[in-house]
Amino acid sequence: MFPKLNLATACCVGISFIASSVYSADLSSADFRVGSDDGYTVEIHSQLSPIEINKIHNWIIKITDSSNRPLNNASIEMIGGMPDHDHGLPTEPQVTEEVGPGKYLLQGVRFHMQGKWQIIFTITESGNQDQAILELQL
Amino acid sequence: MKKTLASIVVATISLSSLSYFIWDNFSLSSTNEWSAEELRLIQSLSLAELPSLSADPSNRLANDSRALDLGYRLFFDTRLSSNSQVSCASCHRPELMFTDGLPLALGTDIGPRHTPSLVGIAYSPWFYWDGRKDSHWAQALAPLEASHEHKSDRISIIRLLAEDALLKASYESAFGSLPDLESLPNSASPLGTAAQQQAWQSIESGQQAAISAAFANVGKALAAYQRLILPGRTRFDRYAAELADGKEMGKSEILDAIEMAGLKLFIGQGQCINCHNGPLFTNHEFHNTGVLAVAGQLPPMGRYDGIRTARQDPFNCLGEFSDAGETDCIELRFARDKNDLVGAQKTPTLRNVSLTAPYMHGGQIKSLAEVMIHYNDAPTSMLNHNEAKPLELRAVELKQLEAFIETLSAPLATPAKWLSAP
Repeated sequence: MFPKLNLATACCVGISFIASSVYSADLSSADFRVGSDDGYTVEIHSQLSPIEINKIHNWIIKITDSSNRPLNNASIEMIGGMPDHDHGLPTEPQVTEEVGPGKYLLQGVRFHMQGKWQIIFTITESGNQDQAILELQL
Repeated sequence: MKKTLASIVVATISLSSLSYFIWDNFSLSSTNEWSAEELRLIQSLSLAELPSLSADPSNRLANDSRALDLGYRLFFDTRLSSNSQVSCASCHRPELMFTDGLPLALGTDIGPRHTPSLVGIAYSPWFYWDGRKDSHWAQALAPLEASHEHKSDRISIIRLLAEDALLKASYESAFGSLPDLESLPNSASPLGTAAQQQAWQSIESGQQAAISAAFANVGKALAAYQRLILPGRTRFDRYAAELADGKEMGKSEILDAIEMAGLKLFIGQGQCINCHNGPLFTNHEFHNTGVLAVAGQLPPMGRYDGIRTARQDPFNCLGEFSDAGETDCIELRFARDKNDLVGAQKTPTLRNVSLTAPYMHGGQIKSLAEVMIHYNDAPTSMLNHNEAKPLELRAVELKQLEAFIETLSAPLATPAKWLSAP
């Protein structure tokens, strides 16, 4: 279901540890999964499949903790941009609803260029903060 | 001895200059085949990839023939202006791909921005160079009340509709009855002159809403007409179709070697496709590319201000005159407004661009050749930073790029009957 590992994440109390790995999207896949042995696992499902540039769409983000339990009531912030062009995402995606246990609807995702995108998720729950970077090649 | 040395120096300089001239101006290699990635990118630009226009939830009559009929009449009607000399078509001239050939638009007065083409504009989620309008119909309203464009006001516009039998019938068949104008001032608007604003304040709020709703319908009709303004199939599109059918690169008679070399640069080293992507050659987004401010103007804030204006616009997707529900307004609700948008202007389509000089948001650059030089140099931006980086292309390559871009023009797909006044 999640064909390629594309994101690494780590969870610490009070301290953000940032890790990343590169996922080269062939635009035929819309599912990504990230995780680490001792942190949260973040599964991303794009409701636009395959992902295309210039189309605004939504993602479903599913987060589980190190015991594989859904992470409820988390706040998720997504920012991103293209490091090679010094600009951000064209939109400001936001979580608008928790649609199931540990599952969140992220609305307003759009990419407007092909190339390397860097996306940073900041996940906050009960005072813990977890930050992860996705490098996505569109 | 000195004479010999001087001769050697002169010969060396001459040889170096000649070598540089040859390097800069002559093609050193020719391409024989496209890679799989290049083929994919070429197809992504083809008009065959352009989907049908989707519905506009904020304009329930966007595809309605009655609204189209009204919009078509209004688009060419100079009576919508205060001096009865300016219509939409004055600046958006069909014979110039709906541009005007001027650096800055000239309505009742000279404006601050260059007239953009309307070809394919209905596909864009944002309007104006700075994206200060979030729908086609909301955009169409602004010039009617702008002091340098039509310089009219919403009551004068509605009064014109009420007093012209043909326009009145056309309006009422699409939108129903016009509001009652009896006892209202001749001219009033929440925008416009101090007198017009004062007159507007004297109107009861229910009547204000009725007038503004009818005014919004005028925009919706104009949008219905403008959705017909669509690009035609170009030489490039025919070439893309030929490639899709499996024809080899070197055997085409549609594009010549120079144009194909330009295409290769466009999707590769020239990086043009970064922003000018998709079948309309635009990502409909906003970028700072280091274009100088118009002479006499401060450097514009661009999209940074544009999105803030769009959010405050009573005619936006979330406003009371929109036909959309909140969930339809995703572009507006999730629009970005951060500092990196300072000085960013909207990417224009490149379809028919060789017919729409001059260029940029203020018409600052006169020719395509100069545009190529601008992007090759990628100068420092006056505000914020230039997202583009110097390309270091040779003169011959800039000419190749220009040659390719000239293959992107063709007569519009719009039936001829819609391209001149009724």
